[in-house]
Amino acid sequence: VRYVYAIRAAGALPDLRGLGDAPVEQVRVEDVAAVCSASPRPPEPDAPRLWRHQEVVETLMRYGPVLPVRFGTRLADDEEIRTLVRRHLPALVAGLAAVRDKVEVGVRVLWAQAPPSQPPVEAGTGRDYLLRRAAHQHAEDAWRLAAERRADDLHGALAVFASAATRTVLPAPNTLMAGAYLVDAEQVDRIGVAARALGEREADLTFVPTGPWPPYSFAPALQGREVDRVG
Amino acid sequence: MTGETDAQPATYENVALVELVDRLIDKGVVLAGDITLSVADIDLVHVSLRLLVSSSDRFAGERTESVT
Repeated sequence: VRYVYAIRAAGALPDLRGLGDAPVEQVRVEDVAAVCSASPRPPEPDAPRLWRHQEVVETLMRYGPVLPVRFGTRLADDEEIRTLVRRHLPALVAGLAAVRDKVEVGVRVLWAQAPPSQPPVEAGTGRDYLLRRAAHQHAEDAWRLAAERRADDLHGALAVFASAATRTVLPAPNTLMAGAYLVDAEQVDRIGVAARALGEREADLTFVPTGPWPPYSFAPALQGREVDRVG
Repeated sequence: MTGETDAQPATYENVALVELVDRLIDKGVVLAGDITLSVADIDLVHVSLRLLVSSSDRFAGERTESVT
């Protein structure tokens, strides 16, 4: 069984050790290569293994464009890898072209504005209860709408630095927005500076830029389905 | 599924952890359809973190093992 780390433009492979210290190899299909290693068993998603996966992908990023493969991907053998890569070759080639010389920067925007609290459970008629429920729902809708508008503005201000951008609004109650931005590798600083400037302007928000990451959030969707958050 | 199941105020550190795990588990190319990991399987406390590094040392990373 082969564990797959990434898809890259075919080229000389640096000497790397993957999960379980297994030597990292690549399986070529035309101008694309899948980077993999032997995998006797499914990896536990613990810190050392997550980091090893990340380090393999990050090292590859120094040698050319790379599309990270989701952690935990195991395929039966080289033949199955070739079959899948060949099946998705056009999307993978286009995906690699889109991330060449680029890196991903994450910007998480934290806020302290809690959602409207649930109405207390009190004695009263059913009608009272329904009115309180409706009022709460109205307040929550307004809170969410305000969050979406504000996130749109902030995302727009950051996305001007990026060739591609994506964001999730309110991924958690304490997080107004989680944005990901695909930026020129040589110009990572610009979006970090912009995020910090926004943070100074928006006193109630905290901007946390992270990265540079391999372009995890800009991997092409395969199999005709969106690669997106589940649940 | 975002891994942000706790309602505690976020800190820089746990933000970076969430960002890392979110990418590894929820993003990336899906070559095979049978990956069953979820963010809930990950113990965030034990994952290293990284904040934005400047382009001059952009591949070096800034990692700090969390002390537990």
